[in-house]
Amino acid sequence: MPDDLTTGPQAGVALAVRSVSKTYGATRALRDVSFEVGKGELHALVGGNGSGKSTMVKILAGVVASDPGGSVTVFGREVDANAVTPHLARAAGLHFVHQDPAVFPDMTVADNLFLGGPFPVARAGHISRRGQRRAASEVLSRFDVQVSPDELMAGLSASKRTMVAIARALKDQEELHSGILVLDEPTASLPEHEATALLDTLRLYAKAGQSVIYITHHLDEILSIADTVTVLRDGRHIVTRPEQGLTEAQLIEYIIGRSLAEVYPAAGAAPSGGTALELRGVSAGPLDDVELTVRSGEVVGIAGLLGSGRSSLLHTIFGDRPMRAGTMLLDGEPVHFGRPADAMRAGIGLVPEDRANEALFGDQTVRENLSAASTAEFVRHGRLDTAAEGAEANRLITELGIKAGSPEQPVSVLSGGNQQKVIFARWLRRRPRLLLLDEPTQGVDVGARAEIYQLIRKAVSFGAAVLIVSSDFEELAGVCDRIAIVRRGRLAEEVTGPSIDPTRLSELIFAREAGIE
Amino acid sequence: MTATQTTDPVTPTPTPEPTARRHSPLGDLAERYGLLVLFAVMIAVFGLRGSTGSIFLSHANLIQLAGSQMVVILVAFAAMLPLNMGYFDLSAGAAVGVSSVACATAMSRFNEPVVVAIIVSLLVGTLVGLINGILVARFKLSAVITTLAMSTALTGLMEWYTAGSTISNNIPGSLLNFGSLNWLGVPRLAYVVVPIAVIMWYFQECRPFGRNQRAIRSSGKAARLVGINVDRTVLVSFIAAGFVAGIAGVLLVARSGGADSTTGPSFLFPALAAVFLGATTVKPGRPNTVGTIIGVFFVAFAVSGLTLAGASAWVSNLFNGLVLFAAAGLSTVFSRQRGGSRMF
Repeated sequence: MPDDLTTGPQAGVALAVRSVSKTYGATRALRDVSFEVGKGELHALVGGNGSGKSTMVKILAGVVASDPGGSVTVFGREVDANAVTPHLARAAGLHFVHQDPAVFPDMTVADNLFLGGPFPVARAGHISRRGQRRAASEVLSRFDVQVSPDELMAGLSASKRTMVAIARALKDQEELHSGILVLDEPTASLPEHEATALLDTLRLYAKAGQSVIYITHHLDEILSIADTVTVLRDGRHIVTRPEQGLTEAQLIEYIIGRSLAEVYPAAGAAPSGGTALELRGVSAGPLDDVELTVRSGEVVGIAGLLGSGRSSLLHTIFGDRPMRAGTMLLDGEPVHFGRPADAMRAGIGLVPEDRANEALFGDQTVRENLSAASTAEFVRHGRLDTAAEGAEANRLITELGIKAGSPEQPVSVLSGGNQQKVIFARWLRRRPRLLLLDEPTQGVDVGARAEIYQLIRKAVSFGAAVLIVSSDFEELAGVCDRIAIVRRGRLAEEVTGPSIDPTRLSELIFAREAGIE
Repeated sequence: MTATQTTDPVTPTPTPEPTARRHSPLGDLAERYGLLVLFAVMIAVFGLRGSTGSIFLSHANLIQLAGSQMVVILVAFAAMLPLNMGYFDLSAGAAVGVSSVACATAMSRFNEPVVVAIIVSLLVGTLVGLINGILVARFKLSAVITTLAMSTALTGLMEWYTAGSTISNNIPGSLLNFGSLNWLGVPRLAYVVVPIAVIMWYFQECRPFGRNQRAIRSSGKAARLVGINVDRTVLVSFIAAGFVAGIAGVLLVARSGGADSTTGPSFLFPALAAVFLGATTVKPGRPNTVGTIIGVFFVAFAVSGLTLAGASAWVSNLFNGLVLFAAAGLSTVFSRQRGGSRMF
């Protein structure tokens, strides 16, 4: 380990943000936010979705211009907050690592370190392999990243990849204490032990004098490693205070604006109907050991942060992705689906999250899109009966109130909400016994949302079980009978009945298992 | 960044209602049958052009032209089967080539009867399609690269086997007559090609198979998620393309009285041009059977007319190239109007 890692924290202010505001149209993303980050401090920036923390980072990076009037001071150099440019930020010593750092998996660590930066160039003008290797080794050892420069990125663990990305961001910074490292949710997509490894490294950097601003949703991380915490809520600065003495209850109160006393879920009413879907110890994507049941006539929600593996779970149930472990039972019978067609035969339907790429056939007509999951049904006397298909399309258009000029219109000319209704109609006409919905109202206007909720209720009324994934807690609270909370790759707990409300959901997602006893 | 993606979950920005493009019925008609009008104009121009006009429109020339295009139509069908899904098959011409060489060899060097030669040709073509299909559907190789490699390798194989000569000895007269004579004033080859065209049309327009192919072209992921067995559809399409190429191989031997290493591959570009041209008509924006047949004849008549008007042999390649440009451009425009992307 290089000597300068032992210099220790220093006194003084690394970054001072004063009176920064940002208005997007009618939305005020930031209102008069001021806070300071000390040198050698590990500073956590926390807040719920829409709290303004990402906007803050973008202003610091010079990607987004703030409203005039604020200022940003980096190591004593003051600039107007609306005048920060990416170049200026870099020159001042601000280094950013974004949530999904742009790494190139099929290139070596050394290549990744120098992409976009100045390559070590030999005298003849070509990239010097040897020079690059030497420089890479030097950078890696300076930041204590224990990988070989010749290794392929793809071969590294997720935390090592992030560390290489951090080293790349910091590589032109001479000393560990001469800059500010800003990390946007670096552990969001890491499994727990990887996250711990990364946090340990950050801890070391901070000890050596590196100032670190660190955005996260994981409150336990904040409480275990941060020196100082700044909380934003609804674009307002709520508090900047040392971590010392801060309890999780207080932290949640800062983030949500309500007290922890209201977090605990009340026991819910038991839903009726037989078990339609049961997952026993299912591992899929980043999720492990999922236990979940959905009854007929019940709407079950899955709440969790982005990238928590909610979508993979739905795709796995639908036979689109392999199940790593566990058993799935449909109406009490163990089932295995090799492909979506198998799941469809068993009466399952999936409305995927990415409507444009995974659900719509944009160049095809509304009619063809409506019947896409049941084409074979329209074969009469050896040929597709497009007249019957058209009649069915007209029926669905009327019944679901799809705003389309005619079934022969290309589906791409419909609005997002009406496109989504087409996808719903495609599945509802099959009378599914289990309907999987992935962010069902994404990109859907307010009016059509209400109609989609009606459709979900309608599916339930004819006995379907519905499993719904959404980032919108308001929505989950509104439509679900029961909600499973995903945290750290597990289904952590369930909320049932009338006690469900959006604020409680965010509280639970931010809460630590220990806090809920 | 999470927070900006879902800035405010309660009040999402409403998606603006896209302005629906209104097609005027007249514009729609012009789009659909524009190529036919152009075709008619072209025939009129060449037909009324003094001395050569009468030759161009003579019964003999028309029958000769039609007969010579039968093989091209089948090559175009072979190319169209994967193109329906947005997959290129650049080996269609070469597959016809090896099939024809295999067919001619069976009769000429091994003294096999016509029936055996036909079976050999069909097997060779189908095998080529099977290999393409497995590589693309099972091993997810790029269709363009796979079929380009296949085409190049097959061409090399043919050059080695034929050593630059034409295999034409000992081919039974019955087959040769079938290739060159008419029944009821129509080239006999048409009695094979027309039923195949009907079958192609039936599967493309009337069966879920055609619908599935188009769904795959539109979005492979979405196709899988509505229960379409994408891999199997791709595999079957390539195998069918190989089978059609095998039939084309037989017809080529019948028509030209032998087989060599260059004729089959030379059909690829006229065939592709025809498929693209066809995608601008009848069902604008996507390949279709009737459009493809119109496309083949459009190209053939244009080249014939130009040749009769005194243009040299190079005009054929130049014309095919220009047609490919124009057709790719137009079909893409039509496809975009329907909310699709680039056609291929």
